[in-house]
Amino acid sequence: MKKKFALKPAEDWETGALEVWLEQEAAKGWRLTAWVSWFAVLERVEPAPCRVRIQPRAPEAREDWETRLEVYRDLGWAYAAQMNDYEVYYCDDPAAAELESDPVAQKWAWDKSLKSAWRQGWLELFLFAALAVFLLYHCISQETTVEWFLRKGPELVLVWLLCAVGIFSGVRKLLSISGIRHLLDAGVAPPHTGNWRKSRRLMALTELLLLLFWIVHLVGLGMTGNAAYMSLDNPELPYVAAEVLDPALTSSIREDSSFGTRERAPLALARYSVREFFPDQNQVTTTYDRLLFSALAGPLYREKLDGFREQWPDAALTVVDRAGFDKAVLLESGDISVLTARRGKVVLTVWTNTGADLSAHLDDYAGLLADFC
Amino acid sequence: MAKEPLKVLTESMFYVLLSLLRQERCGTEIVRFVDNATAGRVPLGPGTLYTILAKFQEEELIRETAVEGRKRTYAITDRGRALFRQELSRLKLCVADGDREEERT
Repeated sequence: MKKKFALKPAEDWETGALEVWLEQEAAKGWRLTAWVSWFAVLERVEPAPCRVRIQPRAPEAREDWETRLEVYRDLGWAYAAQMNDYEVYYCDDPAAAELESDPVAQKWAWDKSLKSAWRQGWLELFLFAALAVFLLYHCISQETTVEWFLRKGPELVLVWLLCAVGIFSGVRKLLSISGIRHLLDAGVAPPHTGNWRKSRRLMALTELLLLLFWIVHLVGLGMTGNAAYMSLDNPELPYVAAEVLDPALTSSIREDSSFGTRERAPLALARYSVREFFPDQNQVTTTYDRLLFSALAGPLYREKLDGFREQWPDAALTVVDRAGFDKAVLLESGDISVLTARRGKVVLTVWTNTGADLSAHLDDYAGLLADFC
Repeated sequence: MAKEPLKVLTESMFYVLLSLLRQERCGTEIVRFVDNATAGRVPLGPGTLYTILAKFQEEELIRETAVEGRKRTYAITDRGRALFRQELSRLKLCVADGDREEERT
């Protein structure tokens, strides 16, 4: 007998939608024989219209269950498969009475499973809402929010999307269950209908987001935390050497601990950091971030500038207005000079406590941004 | 299963008790009796039948009397008979009230 596996198009509690789907499959010549996790196992049969009904499974002894199935069969309803806490029945006789013909009795039979689905709906809603709030709090409580976003942004956006889909699903579930309960309370049998395509789209979206999350997470893990150390002679490093800033800071007196690194983050294609150390704890540090989108450069530039201003609140601030920079600011306080600049997708910072005059080298930095942009 | 005791019977419940009033019956016999007695007006699905039988047993309105292979037979209890009479009286009152009002119009 030919068999096929089909992904369950709706959740267990959406019995109306699942019934419609199974009836459509039966009309095409496929009948359910088993559920394996999220898959329905369907067997090839003669295409024929039939009624499919899903009923909650009550706890009972094996022999009681078998007796019940025999009576069901005598009355036109054949057992097909168990689906977690539910059972699926097929009826080929159009004259046979509905499986559940009394809404009051149906309410008794469905009470437990509806309450359970109701609790699950609230739990899902609470967990997704709590996760969304936690992520938002975690995001805004970061000292360097933009920096953090560059590393975790894509994952964060995907988790937020998952939360949004989860909250939507939870609300949809609660509204649907509430509707069924109101109908049963009013003595009206719920309709055996439902849009399984809509449910399947929602489930597919959730699965796609989960898959994307794991891909982005794994790619992100591979990208971040793996700084490649580079020799300061490497022409790939975008920096203006200390000896250009101040001829006294020659490479011969530069300490061996000086280094350059190259990193990547999901939203930053290249992140360079060059630290040149000199005697008496003098140093020149250059960072260069080439981001994926120029829209991210503005916030990163502002965050870096705010960080420096917070560190040296009394520093004299000079706004640099010249070609080669979209924005640039020079902070000077004693021997400390800090240049923060951006152009297109690139943000550049230079920090030194050597007393070197960075304002005399703005053309060098503009050239650097032009060459490496 | 709901815990509140039964006070008013639905048509299906009423006919299940009625089917056991004169003799013990098994599940399929109950369904056939109801079908014949109501000329198909009250459909009794197997899901409903088993929910009602379980609830009636829980409420001690009926009891299982015999198990022959997979055939289980049920009988009405005194409590079930009393509830049936109470429901019948209520329905008679309803019918009398309806008839009286209809005669006045």
